[in-house]
Amino acid sequence: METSPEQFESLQKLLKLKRYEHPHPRYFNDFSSQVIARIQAAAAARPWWEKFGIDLRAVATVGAGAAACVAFFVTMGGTPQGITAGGGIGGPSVAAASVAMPQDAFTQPSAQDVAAANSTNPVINAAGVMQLSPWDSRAVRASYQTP
Amino acid sequence: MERPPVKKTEPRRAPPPEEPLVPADAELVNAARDGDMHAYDQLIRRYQERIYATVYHMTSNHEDANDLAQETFIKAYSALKSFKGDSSFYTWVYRIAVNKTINFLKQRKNKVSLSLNDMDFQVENDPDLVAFVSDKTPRRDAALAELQEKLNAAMQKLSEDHRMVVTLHDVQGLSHEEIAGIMGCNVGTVRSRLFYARQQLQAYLSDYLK
Repeated sequence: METSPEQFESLQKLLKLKRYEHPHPRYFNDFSSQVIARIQAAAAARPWWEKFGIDLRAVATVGAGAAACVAFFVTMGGTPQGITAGGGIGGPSVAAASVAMPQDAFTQPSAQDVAAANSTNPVINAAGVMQLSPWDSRAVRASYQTP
Repeated sequence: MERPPVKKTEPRRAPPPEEPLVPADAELVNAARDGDMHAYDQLIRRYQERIYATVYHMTSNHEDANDLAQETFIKAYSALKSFKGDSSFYTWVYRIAVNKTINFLKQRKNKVSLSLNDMDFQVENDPDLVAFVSDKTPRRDAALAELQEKLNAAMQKLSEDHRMVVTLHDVQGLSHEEIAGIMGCNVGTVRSRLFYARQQLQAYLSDYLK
């Protein structure tokens, strides 16, 4: 593409033409008021929680996290040591950990626990056997493989 | 008895007329952030013509330019809380306009519809421009209108980035550094884009350039 300096100068002059293109003279008189009106209309149409600066997505995220935590602790309720005891591969240290814990707590619920079992506390059934979640079951099995 | 020499007092000067204080952008931004719409109105009025012109020269369409310029200021208002003041408000709002316009043009693709503004009557007194048409036709206004259409059509053939640098530099008179700040690229890129864009325009408009 060949261009000469004269053409370059000529193009610069031609581009000046663009500077003369303007909207009608009163166009900018109410430009800002139109923008402000659109901002205020958008603000009025916002739901109430946004007006108070509440970010619904953040609330939903926190709520979901809290629900997950509650569900986790409800599931794990009564056997917090189960994971610690059976979380690893059955080795000497694990064995030692499981030995250190009162193993009877897994198989032999205390009389107090049995007494407490009822329709609102189904963790311990009438036979006195703990209803463990699959997690807990694995944890218990691992904890019993002591050398 | 000699009288002590009378000291000549300098005639009292009238106090200089008080100039209306023009608040700085930063003050207006802070006020607008706190919900002061009057302050934001002042900011809009300060930059509306430049923002509109940038978008208009990019789109060659008045209606699109009107929508995009308004949306730029609406977007800027909603994002005002995130404006940290690293750059000037002017650069920041320009950047919003540029990004909005480029996104719009990419969606529009090649569907170009020109809706050109009228030219200021003073164009007929500009010797540089009159020289383009004076020897071709006695009707300068018609010839200038034709030239305007050809120029806008040629601009629309450029890529968005090339058109933007020509608009900001050759039409609006911004410096390379300012354009680099607005477009988020380095000065060398601005220069090379400008060089290439001018070459393209010269090729498209060769019949009209002497």
